[in-house]
Amino acid sequence: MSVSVASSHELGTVRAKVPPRTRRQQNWFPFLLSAPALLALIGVLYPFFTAIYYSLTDYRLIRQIYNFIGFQNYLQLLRDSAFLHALGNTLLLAGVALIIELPLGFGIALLLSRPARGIGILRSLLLLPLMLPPVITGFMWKAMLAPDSGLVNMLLSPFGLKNIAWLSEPLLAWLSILFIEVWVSTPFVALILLSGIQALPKEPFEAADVDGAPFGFIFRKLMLPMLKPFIILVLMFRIVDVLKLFDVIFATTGGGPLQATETLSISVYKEVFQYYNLGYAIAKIMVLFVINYVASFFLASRWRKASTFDTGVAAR
Amino acid sequence: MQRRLVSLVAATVLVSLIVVAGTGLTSEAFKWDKYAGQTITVMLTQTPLSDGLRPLLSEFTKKTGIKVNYLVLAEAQYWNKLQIDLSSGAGEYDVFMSGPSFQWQWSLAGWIEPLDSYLSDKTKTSPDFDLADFYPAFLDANRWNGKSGGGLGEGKLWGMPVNTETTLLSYRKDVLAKYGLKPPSNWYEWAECARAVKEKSNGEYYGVVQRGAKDITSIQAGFISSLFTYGGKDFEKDLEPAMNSPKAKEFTRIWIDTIKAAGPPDWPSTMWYDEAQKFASGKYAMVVDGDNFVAMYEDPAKSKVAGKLGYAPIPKGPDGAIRSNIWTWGFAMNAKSRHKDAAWMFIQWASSKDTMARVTTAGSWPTRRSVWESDKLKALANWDNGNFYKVITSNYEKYAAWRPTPMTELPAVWDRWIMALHEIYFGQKSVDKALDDAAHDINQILIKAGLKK
Repeated sequence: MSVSVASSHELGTVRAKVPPRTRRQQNWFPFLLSAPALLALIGVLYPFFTAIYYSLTDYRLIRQIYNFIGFQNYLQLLRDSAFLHALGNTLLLAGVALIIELPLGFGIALLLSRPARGIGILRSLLLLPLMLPPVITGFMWKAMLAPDSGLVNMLLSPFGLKNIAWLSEPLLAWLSILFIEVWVSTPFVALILLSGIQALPKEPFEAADVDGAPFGFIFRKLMLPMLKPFIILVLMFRIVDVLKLFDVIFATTGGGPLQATETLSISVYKEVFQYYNLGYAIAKIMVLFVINYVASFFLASRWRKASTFDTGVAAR
Repeated sequence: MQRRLVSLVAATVLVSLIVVAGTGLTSEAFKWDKYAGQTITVMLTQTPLSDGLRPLLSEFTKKTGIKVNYLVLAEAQYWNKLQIDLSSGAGEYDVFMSGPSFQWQWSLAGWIEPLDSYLSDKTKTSPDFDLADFYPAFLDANRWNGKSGGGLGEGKLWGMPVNTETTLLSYRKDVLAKYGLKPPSNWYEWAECARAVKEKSNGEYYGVVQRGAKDITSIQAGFISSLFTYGGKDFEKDLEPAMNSPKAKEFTRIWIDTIKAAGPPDWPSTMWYDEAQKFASGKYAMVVDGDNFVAMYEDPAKSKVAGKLGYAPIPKGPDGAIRSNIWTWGFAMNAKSRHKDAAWMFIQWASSKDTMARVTTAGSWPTRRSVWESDKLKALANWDNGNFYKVITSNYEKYAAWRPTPMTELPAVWDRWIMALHEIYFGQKSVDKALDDAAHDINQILIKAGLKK
C-alpha cells in the first residue's frame, strides 16, 4: 500500500518535470508517424470488408436495392458448373504455366548470367514483353495467330501446317493462351532469378570449382539452396498474377471458344458487366482471394525461413 | 369624321396588335444563351460521331456560353466506367453517348432523365428543332415504357439519336461474277452462293465472314437481323424464349452450317472488328452486317475491296419480309446532373439539323430525314452506282427497327446464346439440343432477375 503510494507520488513528480507541450508532442508523435500507414490500412480494409459484405447480399449493379442473404452466393457457387469449370481452368492454367515458366526462366537466367559479348543487349531485350501493356500483347498475338494472315502460320507453312485457327479450337486456344502467358511472364522470372544469381557470393562456387565438383552437383547443392528465397519470391508474384489472368484472354478469345479459356477473372467480369450480379461476382472474387491468400501465406512463411537461413550462412 | 375615327382606331388597334404580336414573337424567339456561364461534362466513346463532334464544341460554347468538358474512352472501357459512374450516383457526367439497350437498364434504375419535358417546353427547345424530321424507327428505339418484353416506342424518350446503323448484305461483285453467281436474295441462295464461291475458287475465297467470337457483340447486327428476317425471334410477347422455335432452329442450322462450310476458319474468335478487317482484306465474298463498316470497305487506303462491292438488302426469309435490326448512337442525360437545362442545350444542339449535317460522315449515318436526303449524303453514300444509298433508304423507310426484345437482361441472354452457337459449331450439341438448353437457361436468367415467374 505504501509502496504504491510512493511510486505514484514519484511518478507524479516525474510527470511534473516534463513541460506539458513536449509531453503532448511525445504522445502524439508516434501516432502522427503511423497515420499514413493507418490511413492506408483503412483505405485497404474498408473496401475489403465492404466487398465481403456485398458478397453476402443479392446486390445487382442495376438495382441498388439489395438484401442480406447470408452464404447463399457461396452455396450457389458450389453448384455453378460454369464457375467450377472456370476455377479448374484457372488453377490448371496457373499450374502448367508455372511449371513451364520457372525452369525456363531459370535456364534463361543461367545463360544470361555468364559474361559474354552483347549480353547487356540480350538482358534488356528480356524486358520487352514486360513493357507492353497486356491488352496490347493480347491484340498483337491475336494478329500473329490469325489463320489467314498471321505471322505464326506463315512461319509454319513450309512445314505443311496451314490455316491453323489457333484461337478458335478449344484445346489449341487453351494452349495458345498458355503460350502467350509464358511468353509474357518468363522474362520476369528470368530477371528476378538473374539478379539472384548475380547476388550470390563467389567463394563457394570457386571452392567447388577448385574441388572439381560437377555442374549438376554445384547446381543442386549450392545454387538451388542459395537461390531459394528468390525462387519463392518469384513464385509468390507469379501465382498471384497468373491466377488473375485477364487482359490477354480478354483481347484474344474472350474466354471462348465454348468455355475453353474462361478463367475466374473473365467469369467475374461477365458476372458484373453482363449479368450485373455484383454480390455473386464478389463471392467469386473471394474464392480467388482465398486461394491467393493461402498460396501467398504459405510461400511467404517459406520465404522468411529461407531468407533468414540464407543470411545466416552468409554471416558465418 | 366618325368613319375616319373608326378607321383611325382600327388602324391603331391593328398596329398595336402587330407590335404586340411582334414583341410577342421576339420574346418567344429561342435564346440559345439562356444558360451561359454553366459548365457541363460530357462523356464520349471513340466513334466517328464523337470524332466529328469534338471540333464543333467550341462553336457550341460560342453559341450558348456553356462550357464543355469532355472525356473520350474506347468502347469497352466506356460502358464499364459509365455503368460504375452512374451506379455511384455522383452525377459527374451531365451528358453521355448512349444507345437503346443501355437506356433500358439506366431508366429502370432511375439514372437517366426522360427528355420529353425538355422537348415540349418552348423555352427550352428551339422552334426549328423539328422532331418530325427524325425517322420514326430511330426515335421509337429510344422510347420505352419500362416494361420488359415490349413497350418500345411507348413511354418516355430516354435518348436523342444522332447516328445509326442498319444491316445489309455487302458482296464482292467481281468474285461472284467470276464464278457466274448471282447475289443472293434469300437465305437458301445465300448458303448455296457461299459454298459455291469456296468450291469454285478452290479455297482462294471464303464464301462468308460473320462475327462469332465468344462475345455478346456477336449476336448483334448480322445474326439478329438475319434471324428476324428469316422469321425467327428472340422472345415471344410473354418473354417466352423463342431462340429455339422451329423457325429459329431452321435459321441457326443454315447459318452455322454455312459458316462451317464456307466461313472463316477462326469464326469462333472473330470479333466485329476482325470481321470488318477480314472482309476488307479481300478473301471473303459476302458479309451481312452493319452499314457503318462500308465506309472502311470503300476506302482504298484501308481496304483491298474498294470499288468492287455490291450492296443488297438482307437476304429474305420464307415470308419474303426484311427485318433489319438497328443501333443508334445518341445522347442521354444524367438524372443526377446539376445542369440539366444546359445539358439539354447540348443534346438539342448535337442532334439539331445543322450539327447532324456537319458531323455526319461516311459510315456515321444520320437519324434525320433532311440530312440523309441532302445532296451531300447522296454523294457520300453513292457506292455501287447508288445501290448502297437505295438499300439504306429502304431500310430507313421500311425494313429497319429495333428488333431484340427490350429487357434489362439482354447482355446475359446474348452471352448464353453465343455459347449455344459455339456448341453447335463445335458439334458438341445438335442444333435442337443446344438451342433448347439455351432457352431453358435463359428462362432461368429471366426468372432470377425477376422479369417473369
